[in-house]
Amino acid sequence: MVNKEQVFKEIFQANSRKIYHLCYGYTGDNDLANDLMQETFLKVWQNLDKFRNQAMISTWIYRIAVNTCLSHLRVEKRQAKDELTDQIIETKAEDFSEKNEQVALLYQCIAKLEENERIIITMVLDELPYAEIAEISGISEGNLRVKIHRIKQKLTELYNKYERF
Amino acid sequence: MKDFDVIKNIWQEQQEPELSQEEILRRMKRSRNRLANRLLLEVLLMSLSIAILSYAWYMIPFRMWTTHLSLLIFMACCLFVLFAQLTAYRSIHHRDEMLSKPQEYILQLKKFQNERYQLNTQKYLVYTLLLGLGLLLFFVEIFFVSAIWLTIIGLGISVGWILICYFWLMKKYVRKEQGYLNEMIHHLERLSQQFNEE
Repeated sequence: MVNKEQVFKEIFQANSRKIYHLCYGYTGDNDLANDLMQETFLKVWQNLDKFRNQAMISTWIYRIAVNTCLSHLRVEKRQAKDELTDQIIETKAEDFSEKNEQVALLYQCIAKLEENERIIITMVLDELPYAEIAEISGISEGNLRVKIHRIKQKLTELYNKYERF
Repeated sequence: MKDFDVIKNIWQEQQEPELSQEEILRRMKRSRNRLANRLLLEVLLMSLSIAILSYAWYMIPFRMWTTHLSLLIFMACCLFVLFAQLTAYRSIHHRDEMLSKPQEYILQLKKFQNERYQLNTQKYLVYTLLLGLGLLLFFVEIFFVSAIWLTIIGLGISVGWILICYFWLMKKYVRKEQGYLNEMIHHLERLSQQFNEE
């Protein structure tokens, strides 16, 4: 059990930030991103034994996160939010720097994309290799390249459009 | 006018959240224990019902075949509920499809949702009918060995409760779940289309 917790901690440390980015990019909401990330790692914990001998463990974690995000249906909003009182993420004092505003705007623009586009672009922004993104999303690499090109254009247009306001 | 590389820089320079793995582990354990306890309680209650039925069947010398058949039906109903609970638990907690490709996962989710719907409608109807039949058969012997008013009150309360469950509580539950199901299927179909687009 101790060993399992240790393995889990290592996996968590190596992947949690990127998984959080994916969940935040998908939902555009900090609380929901927390919930989805928690759900993802719960499933990782449950399947930890199956992962032991996997070379690309991050691919599997991403796939669980993608599937968790896709099956998310704003159900959480209907549930009691009592568990959210103690945040997983320790929110720092709000810093309204220009950089933070730019990041917030970027998340808002990502929220305007289609669901699968949101998932793909957060992986692109986190610099995952295309082969891995293709493996995670189950799309051929050729098709993925076309999609990514289109999503990049769309996001750039959105960002520049909203930045002007 | 910013190009994509500038946007990527903004993304990569974002303030990183401080994630607490201890909190995640603590919550996971709590939610796992809560689910396990709930399942355990349900299994215990059903097992207790089966034990009481078996005990009554063994200890009370019922004379009519209708009573024996009714007890058999009651036990079959309990076993069915027990099986349905365990199957639902298994499908929620041992879902290998979480590792499937998103398109396959979406199809599996649709299948799961349809199974839930069938369980709550068709299978629940069969369960209710069997339970009603079991009660009718059970009260045949009661009718012959006790006062008629006792039979009428007993049967009335039992059938009344079943009717309330079927026509009010369950309909309400199914309506709620169907609303969710429709939303889910609509969402999944849209996603499926997004992944299939060239």
